Amino acid sequence: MTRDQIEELAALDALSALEGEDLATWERVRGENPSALRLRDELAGAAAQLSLLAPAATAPSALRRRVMDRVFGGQSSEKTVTEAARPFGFAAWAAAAAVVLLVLVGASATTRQKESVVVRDARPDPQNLQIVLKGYGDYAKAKAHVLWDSGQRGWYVQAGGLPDLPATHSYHVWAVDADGAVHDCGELAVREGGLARSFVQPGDGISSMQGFAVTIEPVGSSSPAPTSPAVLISALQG
Amino acid sequence: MTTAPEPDDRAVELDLLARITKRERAAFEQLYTRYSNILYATAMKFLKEDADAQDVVQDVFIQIWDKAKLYDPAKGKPLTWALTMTRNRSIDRIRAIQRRTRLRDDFEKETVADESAGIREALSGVDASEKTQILRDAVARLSPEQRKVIDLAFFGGLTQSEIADRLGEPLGTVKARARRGLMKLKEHLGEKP
Repeated sequence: MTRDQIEELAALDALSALEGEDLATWERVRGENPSALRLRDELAGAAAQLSLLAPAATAPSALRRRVMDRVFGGQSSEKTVTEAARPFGFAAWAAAAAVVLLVLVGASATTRQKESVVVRDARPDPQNLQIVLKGYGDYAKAKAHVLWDSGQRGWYVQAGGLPDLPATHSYHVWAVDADGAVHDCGELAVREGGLARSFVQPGDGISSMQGFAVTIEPVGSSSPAPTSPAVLISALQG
Repeated sequence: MTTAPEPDDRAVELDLLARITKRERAAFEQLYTRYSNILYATAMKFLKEDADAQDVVQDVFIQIWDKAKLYDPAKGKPLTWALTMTRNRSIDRIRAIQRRTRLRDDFEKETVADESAGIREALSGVDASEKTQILRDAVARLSPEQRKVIDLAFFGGLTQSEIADRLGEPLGTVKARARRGLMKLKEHLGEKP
């Protein structure tokens, strides 16, 4: 590979514009060539400075309170996360995920092909499949969708109808892989109206998932597995 | 135009990050005071909507609190790290909105910036600070074609093939413009870790 080609890949990666085969090539190159990675970091640093061209703006004062509440925990909220609000146990979710797994593993070739479409691409096709998460108990009105983006190699999680949580807790997304192992997919931040959007990039361990769930976790928790029952779990729709 | 903390402040910011890794609330609050406006302005530049920008800035500060120990000074200044996180999260959000919009067959509401609008608007701003003047000079050295490609990628969040489609140019041309343009920016801005 020529120097120009390496610079090209590094520049496009610094701009987050790489995709497809070029992305795979870049991942190989940067793993073998530390100087390529350094160049990419330098280019990303130069690109980041473009942000300084943004017109001046003052962050709303409410944002400071919101951030501090999220990081340090709000004292004002009297709301607590009770077991009653978590009607669907993790064990039950694991069992449900296992059922999903069995369904998928034992499914016909057609179904497997559909699942493959789901996890590989999210096309603007209304007939396309997506993973739907249904809410249970107090969260029955909540629902979420998960779409796989092959370009970004991650999942878009969109949820609605999520009740507010105390500042000490947040919604958290989990995936179960083909082996039934649970993977942390990060926090699902809720905005006004109970809507939430998140883009999650799992580790290399899950190239294909078999189920998703959302739980309520303490803010800042680094637990490798859910510490509370699932409030939403996945089902497959076609 | 956004005013960045002065370069001399880097040592202060490194100290704040070090204290944040030790879970010092006061250090986090100081860093919030230093960065909140610039990160919010950056998020607004990408997302245009206050609610989305606030969500992104909140996520970035939570990330700073949780991941300060992962900050690598060799990869750039603390501000660059924070700006990069803000930009990346903003782009993630733009792309999520795009895909959701497409799924609804509502192409009119796409959130992509129009061609070169980001850099063009920014260059029209008036700002006398030396740092931003250097930045504007560096951007002005790019050819219009290079500027357009970098703008669509950086501010618009488009991938290389999306840019090629948008401009009606071969993919190879887009790649070459991105490389030459960004290398030129690096050369003139010359950020060292």
